[in-house]
Amino acid sequence: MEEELQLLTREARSALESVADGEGLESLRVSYLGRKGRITALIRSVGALPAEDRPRMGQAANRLKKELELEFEKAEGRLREAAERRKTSREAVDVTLPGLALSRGRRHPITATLEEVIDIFSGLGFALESGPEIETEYYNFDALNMPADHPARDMQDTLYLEDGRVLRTHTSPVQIRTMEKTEPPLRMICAGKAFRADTADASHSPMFHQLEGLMVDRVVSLADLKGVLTVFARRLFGEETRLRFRPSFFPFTEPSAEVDISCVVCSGTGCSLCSRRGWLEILGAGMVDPEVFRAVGYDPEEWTGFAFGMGIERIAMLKHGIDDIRLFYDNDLRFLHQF
Amino acid sequence: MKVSYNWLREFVEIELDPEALAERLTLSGAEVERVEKVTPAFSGVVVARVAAIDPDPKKPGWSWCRVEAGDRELTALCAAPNLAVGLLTAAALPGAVLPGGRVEAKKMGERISEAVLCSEQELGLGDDEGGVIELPPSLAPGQPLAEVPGIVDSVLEIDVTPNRPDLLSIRGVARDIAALTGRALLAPGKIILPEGPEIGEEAGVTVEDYSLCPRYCARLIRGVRVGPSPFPIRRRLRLGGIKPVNNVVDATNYLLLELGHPLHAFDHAALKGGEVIVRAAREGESIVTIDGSERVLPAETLVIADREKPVAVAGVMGGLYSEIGEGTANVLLESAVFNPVSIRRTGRALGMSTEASRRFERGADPEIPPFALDRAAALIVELAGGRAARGVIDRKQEDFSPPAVIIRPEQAGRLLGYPVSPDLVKKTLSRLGLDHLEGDQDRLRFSIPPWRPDLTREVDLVEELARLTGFDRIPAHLPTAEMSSPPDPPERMVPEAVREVLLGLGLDEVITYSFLDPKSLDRLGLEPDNPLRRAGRITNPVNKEQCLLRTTLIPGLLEVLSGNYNRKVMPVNIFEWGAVFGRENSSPPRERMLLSLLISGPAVRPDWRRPEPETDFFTLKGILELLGGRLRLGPLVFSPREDLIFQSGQCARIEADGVLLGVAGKVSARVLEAYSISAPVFLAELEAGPFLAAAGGALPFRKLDQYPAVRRDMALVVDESLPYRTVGEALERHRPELLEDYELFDLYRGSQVSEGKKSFAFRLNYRSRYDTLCEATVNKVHQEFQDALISELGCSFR
Ligand SMILES: [Zn+2]
Repeated sequence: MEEELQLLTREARSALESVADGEGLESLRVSYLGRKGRITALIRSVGALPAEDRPRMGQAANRLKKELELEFEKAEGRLREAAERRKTSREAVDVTLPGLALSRGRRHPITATLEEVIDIFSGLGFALESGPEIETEYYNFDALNMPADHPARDMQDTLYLEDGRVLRTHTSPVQIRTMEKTEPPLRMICAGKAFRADTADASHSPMFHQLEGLMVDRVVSLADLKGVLTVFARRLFGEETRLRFRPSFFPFTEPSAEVDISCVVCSGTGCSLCSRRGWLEILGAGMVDPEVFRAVGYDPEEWTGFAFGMGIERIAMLKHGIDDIRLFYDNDLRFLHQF
Repeated sequence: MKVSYNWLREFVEIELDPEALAERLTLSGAEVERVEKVTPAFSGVVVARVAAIDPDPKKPGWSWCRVEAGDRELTALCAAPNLAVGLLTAAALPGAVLPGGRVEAKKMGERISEAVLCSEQELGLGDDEGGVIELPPSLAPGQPLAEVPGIVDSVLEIDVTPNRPDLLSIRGVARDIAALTGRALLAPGKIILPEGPEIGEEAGVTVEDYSLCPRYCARLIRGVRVGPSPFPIRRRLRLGGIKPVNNVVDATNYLLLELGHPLHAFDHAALKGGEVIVRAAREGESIVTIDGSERVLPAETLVIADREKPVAVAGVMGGLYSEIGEGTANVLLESAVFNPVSIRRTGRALGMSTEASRRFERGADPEIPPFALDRAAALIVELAGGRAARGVIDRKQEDFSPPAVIIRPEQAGRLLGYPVSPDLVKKTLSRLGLDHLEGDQDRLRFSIPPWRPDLTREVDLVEELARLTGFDRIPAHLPTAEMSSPPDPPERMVPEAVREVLLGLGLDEVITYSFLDPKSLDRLGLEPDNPLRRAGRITNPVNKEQCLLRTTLIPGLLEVLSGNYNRKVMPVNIFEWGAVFGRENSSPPRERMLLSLLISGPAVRPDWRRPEPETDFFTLKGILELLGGRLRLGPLVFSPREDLIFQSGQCARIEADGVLLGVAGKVSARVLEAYSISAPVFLAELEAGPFLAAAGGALPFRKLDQYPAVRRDMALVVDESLPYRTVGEALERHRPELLEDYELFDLYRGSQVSEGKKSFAFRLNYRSRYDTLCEATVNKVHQEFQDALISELGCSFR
């Protein structure tokens, strides 16, 4: 009996080694371990042994059965792995082929820059206001301390409509409209298109975008303006950015300043972008002129305020190193897809 | 304003080099745009005195000159007409390099010409080639010409802001430099003006309206000899950007640069009656100005006239008729102040902007005319000889009284953000020539000098204070204000939401000009009464292509498409959110926002794995429906429409919630041809109003259904002529409560259905919110649904 067991086991093991697929394995299992299998039959025959041999032989037979069952499981695992390997080798890909051409549209760089700038000022509590692109001379000039026949009107070549209105030359009229409908104190920004009678070239465009800001309160000073613009410039151009205020002239602010940042390329040592000056002009600013306050019915003795304005094209050009303003309005997809 | 560094140094001591000075001026508000280094284009040229002139016997017009150049004597063959013994000129020595080439000694017959006597033109110092350069007698022969003052110079180009007329002069810039650096402003040379006989009755001045001409001063100079100015005068004019004319005119222009005050010289003999009248032009009067053009004078133009006719456009340009010429012997010299607004209007009406008008329209110094007049007269006499008649004509209605402005140090501190003491104010402003008058420390009164018409208010003085103290003194800190975080308005949120959807679908955002080319209306083939043709017109457009305001975004998008196709960049799938300016009949243009989309290819680019997916009307419609859904417009209703821009049968008008939203369709072949595009293009133009109106509010949450759905497919067979919309409406009308959703998954025509029929196949999902549906219930509901559709549509099922 014992010999028979050993023999069966050896036989089964060698059969398992040569089995090639799941089907063969299953029929092997049936023939050894099935209900009518040879091992099963042998175990059953233990009952016919003399009583003193039964426990020992029964244990041996059962142990062998367990061992065989384990062998079968292993064989099954082996076969499964082999099948898996065959499958994956069939499905192997050339990983060096390009990926699918997925795409997402691009925001126009002007919009992207505007949104970035608006976000910065929103965070500082400036509310976004908007106004019309066709304006009256009153809002575009007179209310901004630029009466007719004032030489300052020459600073802006205006496009006129047949009805005497103008295409706004800056977004400043929105400041007037906002102050007219709002009691101070206030903090606002406005953004949008503006127009000048300029022939398009690398640095001029008859249409461009501006963003302006205004803060009015009881004690607002040039120092506050400097603080706000410093935060803005550092958020936009990096923490190392330095600011420089130069006195200038705008009819709607007094004192007025032009604001330079340290060159984004050379950080101030001088390069071709900054014409060797180390500084780049990015915006105009100043304290709101009392005449502007009078035009909207604010008492200039009670309120002070600062205002600033910047060209978005200029900011985007500096940020990305774009050298021709016309690219923004050509809308060449090869350009748009870069941002 | 072009400012010579050397000239400035005659008025103020400057320790800074030109570059550093430019920086200092820029930081004080006088922005220096450029510093031009003026360096000689020659070498090896010395100052030489003509000692002897010996005409060449064989070459008529040519002479052998012996010149002294320090310790050297040289011979030079020369044909200049202005050769004279004693003349100081420039000699190029052998080996010298001139702009035109190298100079070598040349053998001419038996004699050797060692040097070349040079003209301004040959030296690259000017355009005069009529003779050798005439140098001032003060120079020493033998001195290298390159070391002569004025030959090497730096020109600072200052962008003068409109509020600072005083900076349009050498002396004005010097005055600011003096104030900035704490130096004294030096006075120009003492005026030496020998006077001849009384002016008497020979010359007269009448001012008709002092509000237009507050002051008019004049002098008469008799017996001038008009000719070219000496080199240094011409040189300075050129560096200042003014072309030399003759010694009399050059003298006035020299003072225009030096003092910033425009003067005018008349040929006295040409003035009828010998007098001038300052008056408004009369109806129909005209004048030929010195630039040779005849100008019809608008009725209110301020002119200088003689007894018969205008002889100058006041403050702008003189007349040809009375200009200083070679025959002029007596000069009437004008030094006046004109009303800035009047000058500006005249300049604009006549389309003229001159050195004079640019200064007068910013406001002239009312005190300067007699001084400028005497300086100019002295210079004319120096350059052109003659004698000034004794006596000055000075017509004015009232004396200038300097305005006084009060500044409160406390208010200055409030605006600047740092403490300002009365002492600082007094010390700083006095450097600018403002005199502190009496008054207490809280309210300092200053009298304003006549050259600063821009200083009229307290804030103006605050700015001067900040300017001179330096803007870098101002600290930077964030304002103390109430915290606030205002909500974003729909004008920002809605286009952002639109962008999010469309960018995600692969469309690029574009921004095109707000202008409209009249030709593009024709390219679109619009009928004459099409509302898109009612565009607002710009009266002064930059060019013809930009003379209208756009009424639609479509031409802009088509131009972007054709531009990209021409560069072989495709497909172009783009959108724009922007303002258009439509007009109703004859009303003025009204502004509104539109959203337009253009699709010319698959939203997902084809690649090696996927063949090019088809793009058609339904690609565009799918995008619009998704957009409408995300932006909460409610279901979009498309109905057939005919429109000239679109291909017949492939155009729809779109409504949302009963409101017209816009149109969408396939662009007609004719329009595509006009834009030279050969690919199919789909366009939609939508009103932004409904998008803005639908914005706001949080979306409500709907509980998730727990129980399983049961799926059923059904294929409706209907007549070919029945539009989908009718079927869709019937589905909605009879929709069972248990029908959660459905979609059309196939549209079939062919052998499986009879001729003239089509089949819509739907996939339906039934689901109950309360329990698991049993087959029997679904079967019953589905059957009733189909029965209802049969009775309404007369359809069959397959
Ligand atoms: Zn740089």
